[in-house]
Amino acid sequence: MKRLSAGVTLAVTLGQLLAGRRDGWSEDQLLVLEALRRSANELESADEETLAAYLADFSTEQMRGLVSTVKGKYHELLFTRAENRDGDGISAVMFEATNHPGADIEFMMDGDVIRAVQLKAVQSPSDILEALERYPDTDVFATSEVCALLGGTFGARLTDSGFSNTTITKETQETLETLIGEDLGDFVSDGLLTSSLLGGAFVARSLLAGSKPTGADVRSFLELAGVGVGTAFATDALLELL
Amino acid sequence: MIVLAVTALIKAIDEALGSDRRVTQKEVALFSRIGVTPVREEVEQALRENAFSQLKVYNRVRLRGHLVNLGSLQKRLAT
Repeated sequence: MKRLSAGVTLAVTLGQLLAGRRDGWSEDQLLVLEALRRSANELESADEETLAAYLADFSTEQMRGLVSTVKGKYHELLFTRAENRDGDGISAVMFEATNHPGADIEFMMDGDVIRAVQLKAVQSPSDILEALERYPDTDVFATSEVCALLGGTFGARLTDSGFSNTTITKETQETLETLIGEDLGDFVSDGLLTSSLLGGAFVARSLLAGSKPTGADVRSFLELAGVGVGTAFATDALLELL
Repeated sequence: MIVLAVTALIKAIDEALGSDRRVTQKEVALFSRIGVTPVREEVEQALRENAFSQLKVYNRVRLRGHLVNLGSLQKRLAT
């Protein structure tokens, strides 16, 4: 089976959470959910419904920032899983704390810690230099491009994690922009955001129901009518019609 | 509430017809599904509960006929 890239998996998972999907996650998608939980202390034991509610309030800009954070955690989880499946007798363990100072992962052998390292999913060499300077006793495993750029400058202190940051970042950004932008774009191009017909329909429905519909109601109506709404932005914009 | 809801729908139709902007098929389908369906169902329920007993039989029959036609048109729209 072809494995989705980390960036695509991340974007699709976030999109599915926004769209209200609650089951049928792939192994990688479950890893992204775990990364999302690890991205903020308040999400540590959050169920999927809570995660979805957390994402629903994010603006496009905030979502990009979140993707960047989650991507880092996802990178750590992917690396840990890969290390623990390679059958070399060395295992990797992630530190439990969301922001453990310095090291992100410990390598274990026969129950003993043999090494603690930082993991970096970054593009700029300056991020690596900063990490190495800030924690001089903790080596760095970084994404492939920045390692290639720095060559062997830092010797054993810098190692390629085997994951591409360019691919992860580019696909994550593009896919998320597609997920967020196209949904809203459809609404704009179809005139739904400025539709007097749609506004009147919601007003009539609200009058009969005795209350203004919530964002979830609007999304539900539209999904019933075969219109996929992946983001909170479109539903919010429609609610403005009332 | 039924009268207010019907008024909201009529006003929306008037605005759409009076506008230069083209009305899309999706827009009409959503209007039907979100706005017309609950109003039609509410009127049908009111008829069943004899809420329009003050109307003459002739007008109640006409109203029922309009509802049947409306439902048929909505089915055609949805297919």
